[in-house]
Amino acid sequence: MNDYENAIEINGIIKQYDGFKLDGISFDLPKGGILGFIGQNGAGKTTTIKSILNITATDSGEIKIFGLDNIKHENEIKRHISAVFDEIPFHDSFTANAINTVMKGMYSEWDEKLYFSYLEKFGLPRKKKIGKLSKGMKMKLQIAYALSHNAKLLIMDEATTGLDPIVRSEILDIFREYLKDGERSILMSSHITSDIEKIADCVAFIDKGKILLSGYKDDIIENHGMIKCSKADFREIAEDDYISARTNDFGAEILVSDRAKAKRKYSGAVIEKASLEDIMLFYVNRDKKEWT
Amino acid sequence: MRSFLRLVYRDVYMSKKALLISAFSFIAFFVLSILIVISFDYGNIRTILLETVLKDLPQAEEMLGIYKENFGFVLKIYPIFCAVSMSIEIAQVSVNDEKTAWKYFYRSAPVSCRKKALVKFFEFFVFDILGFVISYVYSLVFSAVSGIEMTYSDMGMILAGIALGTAMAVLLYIFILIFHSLDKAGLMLTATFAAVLIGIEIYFAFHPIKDVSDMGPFEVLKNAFETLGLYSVLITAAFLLVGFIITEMLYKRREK
Repeated sequence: MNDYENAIEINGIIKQYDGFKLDGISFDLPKGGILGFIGQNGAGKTTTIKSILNITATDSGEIKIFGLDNIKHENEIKRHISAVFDEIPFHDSFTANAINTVMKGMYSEWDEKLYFSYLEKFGLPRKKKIGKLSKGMKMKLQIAYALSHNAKLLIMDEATTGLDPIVRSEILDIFREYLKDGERSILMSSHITSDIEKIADCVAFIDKGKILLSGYKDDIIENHGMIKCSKADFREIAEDDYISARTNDFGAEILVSDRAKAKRKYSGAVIEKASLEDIMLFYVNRDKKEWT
Repeated sequence: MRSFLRLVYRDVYMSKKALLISAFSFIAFFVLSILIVISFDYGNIRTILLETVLKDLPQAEEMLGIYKENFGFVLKIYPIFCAVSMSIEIAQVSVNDEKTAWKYFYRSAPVSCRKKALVKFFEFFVFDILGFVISYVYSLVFSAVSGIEMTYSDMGMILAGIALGTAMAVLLYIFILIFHSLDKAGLMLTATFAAVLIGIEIYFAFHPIKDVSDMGPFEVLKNAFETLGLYSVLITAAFLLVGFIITEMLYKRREK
């Protein structure tokens, strides 16, 4: 199981619901990296993650984790992964101590010493009931036990949603530390693109059940550009050359997917780097083409 | 084994409050039932019955003894049911699981479906045994204090209570796994028991038991428990075994 290139490989996942479809989802998470899985609410992030964890059945497609089929080798894989959800899965009456006892029963590689050291590092009380902790503390507790059984893959589903910037920054630092050995990987789904931009190596952008972009984050950001111009100049830009444009009384902002090509073709235009948030926003509005 | 028991610990931890309430209810009914039977011998119940219903009757003392025995038999039902319903508290843990992300977290953990089902049914089994022991000890104490001899119908009542408690717990748990809602599961459970009761009524309507026509209601009840007791162990075992198999299958099911 140590001999794999990608921690996660997803190929052509299709899942049909009433009114929604995961349509041919494919992306890879390289070993030792962080993949930011971004998309707006309802885009299909959680459904994809549930498919990876074999919580939801798929209609077709293949998912490999650590190079192994996620269904055939389910239990073997699950010994080495940790799932972190947007809310803590333990009842409010539990304490950090009680969680330690339960986790010892679930994971053969549970490291109690490490878990308590994380609790101390994060300033989390051992005997206080979860119900009395703040949202940020609950998330840190989730991360404390997620990192305490030598998991090679951390899967996080909207885990930083609702947290303040300081707590989110602390959590991102923890992840950087976690990945230092190069053997561990993180799949992090979020609609907070600023966090993904800070930490991710790769990005997969999902919208309405389809992967619109996937690849290395720096390449995606480097390739995309934002043209800022007047409305009159905007009319001269060919529709095929941009993803979508946001217009207002003062001008237009236009997202292009090939910044170098746009620079050559529209040499007088001001073309800036686009942020992941801009990329997401403009792609989501791609069908409208022009929006305000 | 240790890891198995730690998973059991989780459910028991979740049920702490409910189990404490069951324990408190049991103790309260225990004390109440003892006080009531003592009152038949030395207290207000004796006085009231002798001065009203049994006034001037030549066999008043004998009749009082019969009242005490019958009433005592019915009184025992409440504390026994408190003892044997602990399994139902364990089943209700899954209601809380539906409200948290636990079911997804548990699904992502390296615990096989068989182990998950085994944990649950081990808990049901252990609480059945515990319920039996507590009920049996209670019956012995009640018998010693009241002077009412413990009979086969007492054992039958305990075993029938365990069978009923197990059936409710197993069915409730399975319905919660299927419907993901306590309301729907409760409704299905009620409907199931209603259907069984109606079935029993219809059966006895067409197959009346002639021997009971001369018996009083308490005698009928005692005979019923004596007969049920024989089958109760089988009913309990059947619910545990079939319930385990169905639960493992339900755990293997993935969300659609």
